[in-house]
Amino acid sequence: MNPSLENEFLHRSAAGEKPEPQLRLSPLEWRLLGAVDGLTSLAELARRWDLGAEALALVAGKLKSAGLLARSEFTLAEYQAAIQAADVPAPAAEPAARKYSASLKRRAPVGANAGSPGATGAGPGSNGAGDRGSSFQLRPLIDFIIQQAGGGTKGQLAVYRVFCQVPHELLLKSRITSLNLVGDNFEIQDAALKGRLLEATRTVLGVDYR
Amino acid sequence: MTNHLGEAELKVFIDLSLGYFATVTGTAAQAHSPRIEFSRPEFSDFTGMVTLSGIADGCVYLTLGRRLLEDLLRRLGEPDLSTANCLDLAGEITNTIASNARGHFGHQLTISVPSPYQRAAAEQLPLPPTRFVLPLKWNNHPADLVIALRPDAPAPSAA
Repeated sequence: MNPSLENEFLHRSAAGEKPEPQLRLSPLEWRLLGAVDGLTSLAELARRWDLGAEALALVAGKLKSAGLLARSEFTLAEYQAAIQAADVPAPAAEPAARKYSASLKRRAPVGANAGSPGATGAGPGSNGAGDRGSSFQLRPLIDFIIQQAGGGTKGQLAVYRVFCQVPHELLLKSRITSLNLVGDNFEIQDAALKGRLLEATRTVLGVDYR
Repeated sequence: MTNHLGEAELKVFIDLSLGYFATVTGTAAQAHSPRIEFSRPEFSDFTGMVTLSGIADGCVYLTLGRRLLEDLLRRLGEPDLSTANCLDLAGEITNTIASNARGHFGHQLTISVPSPYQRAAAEQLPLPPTRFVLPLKWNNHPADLVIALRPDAPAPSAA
């Protein structure tokens, strides 16, 4: 394992957040593009996927050259916010792995994500629905559910219970295939999906979102 | 069918799965960040699965790579690393988790006898499309614990 890859943290650039429809990548390239979160090292991703780190570094290099990925750097405040948001409690879990994992958690406001096209006024951590016309942001809703359920694994399971109530075809219609792949600024345009998510949130949590 | 398994109940399966590795092998499995998937499921070489009925409808499964199972067989003192033994072990792991879960839930949740599958067979299974996937790593080998529940049926009319 190349030690430098342990310190290679990447996030999606603005172009990576909203790839051009005609962009063609290999399955591994798409997988890497979807998985980077600014907090998980390239070496850690290689271990998770049982791949050679050097091979994954080559893929990452190609995506960086294409302007889809960028190296993550934080201000102290951003870093502290990211650490605070990362709290996957699991028995006997490796502390570092839990601390830096962020799939279902609020993502750190890294790089171009904070100002990418389509962002609404509701920033990370806001519990507002981020309404802009008929669309609303998914990430604040997920944060709300996790927070209401007490955070950690229970919070993530609550998100799962909510999404279990949403018809599969509505999710696929909005091209949501995995919550890992939903960017911070993902907006739901489908009124039916929005309605079912809000209804499911009320059913599962017993509270209204906003 | 209505799913009445709350977060705490679902977490039982996570705790039992992690507990299996720590208890049986002495080496804890690491839990990584979970994800929720809606697309076609991916399976590793071997999968041990139980179905749930009663207060919930769905399944829970562990999908593990051959290298993990071979390593685990060695750890358990089993020199035969054949496909049959790997498949048996996948079922046995799930059986241990299921037995403990039955003790926790009692009669309110029916947990089936575990079924072990190789990848090709697992890919043919009709599973609920919305899945909670918790990536695990034991002794540097990846595995996934997956919870897949069917959505609630509409509540019966009061009329």
